[in-house]
Amino acid sequence: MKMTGLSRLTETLRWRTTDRRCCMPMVFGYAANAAGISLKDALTQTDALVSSQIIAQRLFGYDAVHVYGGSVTEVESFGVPLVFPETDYPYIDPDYKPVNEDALADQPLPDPTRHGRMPYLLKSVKTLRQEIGRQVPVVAVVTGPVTVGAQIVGLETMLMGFVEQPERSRRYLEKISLLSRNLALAMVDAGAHVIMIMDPVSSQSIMPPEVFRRFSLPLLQNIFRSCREAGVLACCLTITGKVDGFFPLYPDIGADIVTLDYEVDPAQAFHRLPNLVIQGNIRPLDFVEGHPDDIKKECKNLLHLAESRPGYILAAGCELPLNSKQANVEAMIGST
Amino acid sequence: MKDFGSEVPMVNTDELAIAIAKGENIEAVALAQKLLDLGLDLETMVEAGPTKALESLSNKCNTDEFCLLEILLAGRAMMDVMEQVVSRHADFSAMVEAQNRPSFVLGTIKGDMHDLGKNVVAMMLKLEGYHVIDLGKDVEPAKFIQVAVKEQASFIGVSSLITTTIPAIKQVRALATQAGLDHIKVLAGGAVLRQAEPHHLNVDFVAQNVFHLLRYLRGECGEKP
Ligand code: B12
Repeated sequence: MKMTGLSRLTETLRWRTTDRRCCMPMVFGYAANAAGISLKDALTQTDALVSSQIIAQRLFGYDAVHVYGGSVTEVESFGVPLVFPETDYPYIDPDYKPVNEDALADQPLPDPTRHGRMPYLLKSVKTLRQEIGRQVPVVAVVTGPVTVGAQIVGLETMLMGFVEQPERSRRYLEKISLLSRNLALAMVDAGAHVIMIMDPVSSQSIMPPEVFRRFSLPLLQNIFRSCREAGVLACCLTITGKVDGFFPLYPDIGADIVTLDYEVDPAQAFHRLPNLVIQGNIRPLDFVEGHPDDIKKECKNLLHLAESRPGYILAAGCELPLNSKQANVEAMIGST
Repeated sequence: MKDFGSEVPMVNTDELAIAIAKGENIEAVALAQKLLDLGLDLETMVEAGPTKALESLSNKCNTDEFCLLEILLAGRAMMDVMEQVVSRHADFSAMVEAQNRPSFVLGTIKGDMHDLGKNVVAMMLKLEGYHVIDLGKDVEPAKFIQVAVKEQASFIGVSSLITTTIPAIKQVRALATQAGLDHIKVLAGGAVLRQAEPHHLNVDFVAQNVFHLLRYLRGECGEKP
């Protein structure tokens, strides 16, 4: 019998085989483009986000819908000014002057139910859960505390602070991680099946494993632990770029699923992470510049490699690019 | 390389290179000063300290073992040695000028606000002696050309980390050709561009990272630029 996206994910999490391979590309803003809805609307209005996610999921038939407001959702709630282009993600106003680390630690904590666009994202999770949540898992994306911190104080300042004033860094990051945790818990409460922490700054191309262990790891562990206690179906960690230096730490993070970007060798990852469900690692740019045959070939290789591994989800390890070609997305689903 | 360990009993030049590569700026400045005080000549100090540290980072980078934090720390230590020690003994900018390297117009393309990688590239190119004109971020394709003409540049470097900028990147070469700048090399880099072949982006070279760029500029990547 044909399984639903939700049952495919559930069985994959139990390391059981499914009717076809579970396929959960990170379709965020691309859903709006595919559905012919303005990206700006989808990032600011519940109806537009919900419709774009449902239309795109029905169009392609992959196994999840996502609620994502851009990586600046949390910083916006801290009062950082944003620019909203019509056809791209919002970004921090270039005139914004990063705040001092101590000032950040003393700032009041934003409330997910009241500040910025967080309430609208929570409402979107709730609506998606009601409308298709019985068949398709709802994945809510929360930005990792270190990525939020980097945006508020400036990445270079934050990194130098890790070396020069570790205690101060820890103080403001713990503060931010309370927001991340509260947002994640509110998402679970609104009906999210999966909490995906997107933490691109905690990447090996930015920080060495030792710094990851001291700063990012404890914060991620705390958030995932709370989500688990709140009864979430699965926790997922997304760090783009190279991460193999972090593999010895990955089993202790508390995630059920880890996504891997194209720079990581999947065979090695399968071997070194025997108990984690792995999601990845099609080359994101191929969805834009490549031909469906390239995508099919990549998927075939990945599926072959994962043949005897039920704990594998087909996708790219990064967001599906906004300007992906429809035929390439179809080629990915068609390969499962 | 000459071993100064025996001539200079208290410090040897390897320690300086290691301190720089590890990003220990205060120690690096002290070691560099001590070497000069002990009679080592300036050029040898620069060769054995900052230059050697850069090479060791480059090697590390080939095996993918380096990261932004390490580059920032090493870059700061290198700059501190140059500014606080070398420039006191010689005019650093004159040293750089004397090498008479070509001009390099650099920027992050229109629509993209990522500039950390580009800043690393600017810093390294300056240390290599290039005259770098940094246009910042969110730069119109035509602006690269205008400035390249004005500065008689030999290279245009375009940085981008997001896929939506690709059409703008493709314009740079086309505009350069229209302006009669066929001799200028258009080079690209940044996390997303790294996945692309030069012909996809209509550029002459795509760098995997800053050291790959330096090797290309030194003619170590096959063809000479
Ligand atoms: C830091 C960061 C930011 C910071 C940027 C701060 C700044 N001042 O630059 C902030 C928070 C502002 C930011 C914003 C956004 N970001 Co961002 N960001 C990153 C992150 C974590 C690291 C990038 C970085 O600095 N790397 C370190 C530097 C040293 O590496 P590099 O740039 O590749 O540079 C090296 C080489 O490539 C080379 N190089 C670089 N430039 C050049 C140029 C030339 C000529 C040459 C030869 C070589 C060269 O030299 C460097 C040293 O070796 C990456 C994820 C990651 N882990 O890579 C995401 C990432 C690039 N961001 C991403 C996105 C989507 C965004 C946003 C759109 C956010 C959003 N979704 O809401 C906005 C962009 C808005 C805009 N229009 O620009 C995506 C891109 C996905 C895609 N496929 O397009 C990434 C991959 C993360 C992700 N998957 O979510 N981001």
